[in-house]
Amino acid sequence: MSAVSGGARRETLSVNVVNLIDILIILLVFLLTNFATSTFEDLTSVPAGMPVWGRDAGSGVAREKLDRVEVRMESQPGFTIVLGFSDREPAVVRVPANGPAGFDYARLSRELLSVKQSWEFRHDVLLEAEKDLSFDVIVKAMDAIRSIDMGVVAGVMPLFPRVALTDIPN
Amino acid sequence: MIFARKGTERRGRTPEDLNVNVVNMIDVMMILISFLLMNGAVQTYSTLAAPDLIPPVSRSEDPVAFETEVAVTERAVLLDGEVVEGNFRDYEDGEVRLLSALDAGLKRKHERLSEAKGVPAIDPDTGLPSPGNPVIIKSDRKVLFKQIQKVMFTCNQAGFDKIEFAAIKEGT
Repeated sequence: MSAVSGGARRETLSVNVVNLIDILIILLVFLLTNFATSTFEDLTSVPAGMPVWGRDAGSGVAREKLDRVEVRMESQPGFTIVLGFSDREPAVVRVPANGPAGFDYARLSRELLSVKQSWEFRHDVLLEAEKDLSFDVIVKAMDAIRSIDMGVVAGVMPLFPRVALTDIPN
Repeated sequence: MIFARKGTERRGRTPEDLNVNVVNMIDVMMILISFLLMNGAVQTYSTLAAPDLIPPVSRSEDPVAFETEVAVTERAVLLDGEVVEGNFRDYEDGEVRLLSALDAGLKRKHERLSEAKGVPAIDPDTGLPSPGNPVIIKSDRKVLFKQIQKVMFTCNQAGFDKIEFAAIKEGT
């Protein structure tokens, strides 16, 4: 920056802005990093119902046979799928915990896919979870119940989109 | 910014000044920084509501409705960004099912929403707040299910029975 004073001699006034630019660039890099990590965390929603006893379960060909689909979620032994029928004893499918790594969500989805293939009209599942489980594993289980990932070619296939949540009765 | 041209002083002539005008660059940087700061502030408020709230990840594709927002951390419950249950952790081992402060806040909001929509706030058949209102529960991934259940039960009792959980979309 320069200025002329007095008319006779030209004096140069300089303002050193190098430090200011250094700080601004560091601030800019930090904010851009923050922007990139926060903006692209796109939020989605997972519908979660509460159990309503006595509600109509839907209509379909096999309605008289399958009354309810329940998934029990316990840290040990893992998932237990209970298929309640109106005309016979309930069927139980066990999906044991996947070692210390936790629940076997992929196998739960596969077992529910075979249920879905037999009773296409069913859309609702009651998820009974242990009280001390974390919210993270509950949402993962809801994901596994609602849809199955069939790989890159087939994509995600819906299973039981309506999940009601409750705790395991004592 | 002023730079002396190389070699001028060696030849004994008067040094010449080279001026680099950085005013425009600083202007642009200031505008960019203001934008990023504002964006950061808005983003933190609207999506997370609390610094210790990290939602779980889900492959769900459903959109999020922000009409009524209940944020749940391990320590507190917030309704639309304001703390309503500051001692949430105290209830962890108790048999409390209804969170009274959250219930009161939700019922006030329910009344306002009913008034705006022109529908009765109380269901004449049940005497309870009329159902059918959506609520999004943004909970930290470490919160226990028994705590989430209390929040769900309270929302349901206050007429907010269309419950959805917020999650970070997988792969983002």
